[in-house]
Amino acid sequence: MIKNGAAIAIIILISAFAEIYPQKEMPFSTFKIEMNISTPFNKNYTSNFWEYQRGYKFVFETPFYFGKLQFGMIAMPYTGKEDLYPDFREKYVFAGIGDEIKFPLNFFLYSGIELGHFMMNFDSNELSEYEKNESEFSAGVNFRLSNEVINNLFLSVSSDITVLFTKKKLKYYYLSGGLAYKFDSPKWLKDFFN
Amino acid sequence: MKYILIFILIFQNYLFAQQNPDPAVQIITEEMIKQSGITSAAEILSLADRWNTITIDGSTNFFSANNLSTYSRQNAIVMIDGEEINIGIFDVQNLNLLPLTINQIDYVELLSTPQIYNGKFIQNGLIHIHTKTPGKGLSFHAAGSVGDETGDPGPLVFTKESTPNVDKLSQTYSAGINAASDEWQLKGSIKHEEYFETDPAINDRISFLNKDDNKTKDVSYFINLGIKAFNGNHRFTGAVTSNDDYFFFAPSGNEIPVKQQLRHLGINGNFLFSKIGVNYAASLSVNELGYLNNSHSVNFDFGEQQLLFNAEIFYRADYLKAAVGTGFQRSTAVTSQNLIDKNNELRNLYGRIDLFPSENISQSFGMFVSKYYDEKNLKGFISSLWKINRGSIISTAFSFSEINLAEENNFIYWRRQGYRIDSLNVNMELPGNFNAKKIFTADLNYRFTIDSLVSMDIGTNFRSFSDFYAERQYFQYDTTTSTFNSATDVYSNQYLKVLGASAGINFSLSKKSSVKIFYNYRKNLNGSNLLKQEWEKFPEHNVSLRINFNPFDNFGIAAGLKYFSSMLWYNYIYSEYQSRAKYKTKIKPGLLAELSSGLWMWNKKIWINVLLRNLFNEPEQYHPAGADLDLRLYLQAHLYFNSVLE
Repeated sequence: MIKNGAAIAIIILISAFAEIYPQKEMPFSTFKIEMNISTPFNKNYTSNFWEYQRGYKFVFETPFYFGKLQFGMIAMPYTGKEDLYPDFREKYVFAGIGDEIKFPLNFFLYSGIELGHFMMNFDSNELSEYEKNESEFSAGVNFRLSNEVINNLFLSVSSDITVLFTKKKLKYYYLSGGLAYKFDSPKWLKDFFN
Repeated sequence: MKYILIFILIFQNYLFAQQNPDPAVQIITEEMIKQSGITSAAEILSLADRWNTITIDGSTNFFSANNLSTYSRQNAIVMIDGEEINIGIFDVQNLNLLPLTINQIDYVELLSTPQIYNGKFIQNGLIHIHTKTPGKGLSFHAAGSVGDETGDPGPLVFTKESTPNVDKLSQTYSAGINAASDEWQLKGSIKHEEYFETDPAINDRISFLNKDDNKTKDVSYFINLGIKAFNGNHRFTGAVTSNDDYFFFAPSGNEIPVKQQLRHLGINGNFLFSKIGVNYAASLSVNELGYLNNSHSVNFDFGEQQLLFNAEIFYRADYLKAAVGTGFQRSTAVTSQNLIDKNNELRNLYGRIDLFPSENISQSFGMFVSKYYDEKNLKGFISSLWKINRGSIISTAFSFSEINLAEENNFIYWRRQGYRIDSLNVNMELPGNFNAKKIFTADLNYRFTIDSLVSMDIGTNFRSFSDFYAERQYFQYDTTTSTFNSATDVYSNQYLKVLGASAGINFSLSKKSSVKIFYNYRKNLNGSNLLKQEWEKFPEHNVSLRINFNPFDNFGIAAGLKYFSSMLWYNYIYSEYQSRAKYKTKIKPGLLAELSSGLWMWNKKIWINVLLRNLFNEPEQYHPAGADLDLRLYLQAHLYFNSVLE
């Protein structure tokens, strides 16, 4: 559906533009909190057994020495299509790094890579505590288009394209939309990170 | 061979320059350890240029320094701050038993040529870990890490696509407290490490004996007191490690559940009186393979209590340093069995001279005589280093050793004394006589420093092994129990000549980035088949590439690429067929990438690191019965509060 090469090419292109036209921000000088409603927009092998529900995506973002650092989480419930397949709640926790370029009319385009931990909590009384929890490493890319509608308040649309490194690799494509607010970091926080 | 050594000693005409770095000595610094994202002591050897390492379980290693030994006779000397720690038992040295934590390490010194060091004859390499000197006042440190291997079934565990769970690899925690003043320092730490056997190739085997889970658990306590007194420095060390482990016991071919206990109490130090001084070391340790609950009640019923003592007197002048010393080592078998002799006593006498006639050239040589009852064995070395000009250094090292079975102090030695494992079917045939092994080694290294940014290393080495013994084993695979078994026939009079070569280049692209490439080559020359087969377990070619990029003071990225050629384990030739190629004789070449990124925070009080190993998820296996490791993710965090209360 989405070619890996094309995604990497877009990231490199955006990073190159961002380096040519850098936005001057000191590392950890600001924080942006983003809250989104999120939904997958692809089908993978698990779609044969589970249906996804609407989920949420939270992101903290801060300028780094190069580009921006992101820490985020996507939470999403899945319902089994049959009793054999217990419902589960996905929590995908990730850290990413990327770059952003500014366009006219206060539009911003971000692209980056992300590494994460994909945790699944199964809801079934028949499972032991050990069996109820599964987790696996995940890696991917993400893109975001945002617009600063008023000072430091952003409307954003983003996509996360991730590969879950299970024995049979699973691809998840998420589409998210929401609001973000950016603020100056308190001094103690800047000191901490520096 | 003795006469060759004496010939070289007399006629060698260039001398060793002490102030120049010897290319045969490798220093692995704390910074290098951090850049590579290493989380345990065993992983440090992955940075050693001239050492081969393999792993069966993914967390512990078998190693060989600079073509000096096989994996089955690794026997390197391991020290912490000058204190020898006896982690080896039955030819297995698990570096994770060392009681120190990864964030206590200042640097690791690796010696890869035979020589006398701290009263020991270093035959198979030295791993000397130097811990950090604490700042004045009270300091605290802590660390934690978690490792995860990819390849879980994920949600598909509930479907017909379900596969075994490989899940978590490791989790480690440690904490320490240091206190220091001008005249003394006290270091104490505790370490808790858990490693998970996740690979189906091992789990099936372990499950046969195991009653509980697939976890190994290692808990260590370490205390070290250093004082300056009586014209010298003196260190007292106490350490306890308890490790619930699956001990890979080669004569059986399987992992045996053990509660391994290592207890160590020691003192070392020196007295200095102008140009004359005394170095001393004494320690008492116990390394025990205790019983761990298992379904077949397999019990080694064996431990080794070791008493070590060494003292040497030395003289230092501008142009020379000379030392004469004597040592005593008594290993006592701790077992309920009746043995012919439960004590293995070795005494030694040695001398070493380092000459420094000029700034650019100098030479070291030494003789070491060990005595086991009436049997005396001689070891000697001569090493030289010549700084030809500002950028060029040549070093040479030659050695000759006679080693008897008592010095190896391994399972075969104790078997000869009558030791048996009743609960384990170990069928071993020993030859009537074991002659002392004879080893001749020659190393030539050349380091060329073009400027402050580029340096190159070229080296070659030759080994001649004679009067060796070696085990012949052909493992049979039992499909019902998923375990191996084999009779072991030990043959003496084995011999082999091995040639090795290495080349490396180290260049700094800028102050913030550096690249290092290192290549190792090994070739068996003529020899007996059994010993040749032992050496076929090493790859002929090893190449490593490491790129470090530190764009900012508190942030760095390191990338590594490693290639090794194929390895052959003939002793699994039948089990390959019996297991339907689950366990293969030939290990395929590996091309492995890793990426590590570290960040310091809060004025260097917190350090966090992310490491990805086997980045492209290529096949990664080192031993026929070992794990095939997939892409792994490691996260670790360190915390340092230095000199908080002065």
